[in-house]
Amino acid sequence: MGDPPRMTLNILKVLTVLLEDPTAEHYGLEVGQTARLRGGSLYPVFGRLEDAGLVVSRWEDVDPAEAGRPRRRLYRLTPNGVVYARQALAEARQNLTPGQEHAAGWGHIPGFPTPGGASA
Amino acid sequence: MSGWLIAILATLGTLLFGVVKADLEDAKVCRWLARHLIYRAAERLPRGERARWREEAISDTLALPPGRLPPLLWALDVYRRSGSWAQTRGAPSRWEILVDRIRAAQEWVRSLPQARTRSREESKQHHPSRNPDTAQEIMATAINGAEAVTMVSGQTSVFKSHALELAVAQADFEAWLRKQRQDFEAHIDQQVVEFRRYRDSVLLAP
Repeated sequence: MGDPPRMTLNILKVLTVLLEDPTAEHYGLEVGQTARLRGGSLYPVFGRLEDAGLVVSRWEDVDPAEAGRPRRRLYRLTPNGVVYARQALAEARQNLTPGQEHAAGWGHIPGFPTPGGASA
Repeated sequence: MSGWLIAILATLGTLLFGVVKADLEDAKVCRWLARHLIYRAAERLPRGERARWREEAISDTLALPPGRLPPLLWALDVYRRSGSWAQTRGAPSRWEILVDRIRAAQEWVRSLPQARTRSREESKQHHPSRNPDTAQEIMATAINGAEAVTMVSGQTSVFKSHALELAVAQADFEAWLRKQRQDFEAHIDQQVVEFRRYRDSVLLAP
């Protein structure tokens, strides 16, 4: 496992989406649409999280001819990643004042812990 | 004059805009453009990672809702941020690449005089006039090759190579060449005679 990545807003957004269901696998576009991130911001975040060992990825086991679409890259939080994500979101929650998460642009993400303790 | 220039530029601009607009209204063109942008973006990444990220980005682009703009915007964003993304993946920045290229060019220019001197020395060593063995070898190769070519194509220009000129006196070479040509023509004449004889025997056979 590498060093934990420098925490940025984009990393927080991605971790929030992945933490909604830590055991599930998500593909890039799905995460990007939920977190409202485009590819140029999303792929570097996945790369950094993967380098740090917080996320693992694999190619989807589908036959593109049968599925009618190319295979997807699936991402899932590692156990370390789950712990790290929970800590990072808790710290972010502590550092936020009510309403600030909306100003920062992540208040729309389902599951993001708001300062009051309830999920958005 | 400037009025004409403005009119021409405006016409060209209108035509170009129309072509681009028509292309962008075609979803296939947009998807092609998106794919092209992603390929270009992936080229900036370290070599070992390009295929993976390219495939992933294209897969996501194709999974976007149908329409011409979403894939294009997605790909544009990937391309726009690919420089900084590549740096986080360990690829050198454009500035570093430029500096490296300039340094390599400087080294190459500096090495030119040495390379020229070395080339001259090697050329002297292998010059036929300095080395009888080399001259003999060139002569043998040229004559053997020349005979083979003569029998196949009859071309004579190949004989007069630079190496042969250096190794053989001009008069000897021309005499040898005349002899080769005579032999070749005699050979052809013989073939023609034999062919006519065969043809007559077939056509005039009872």
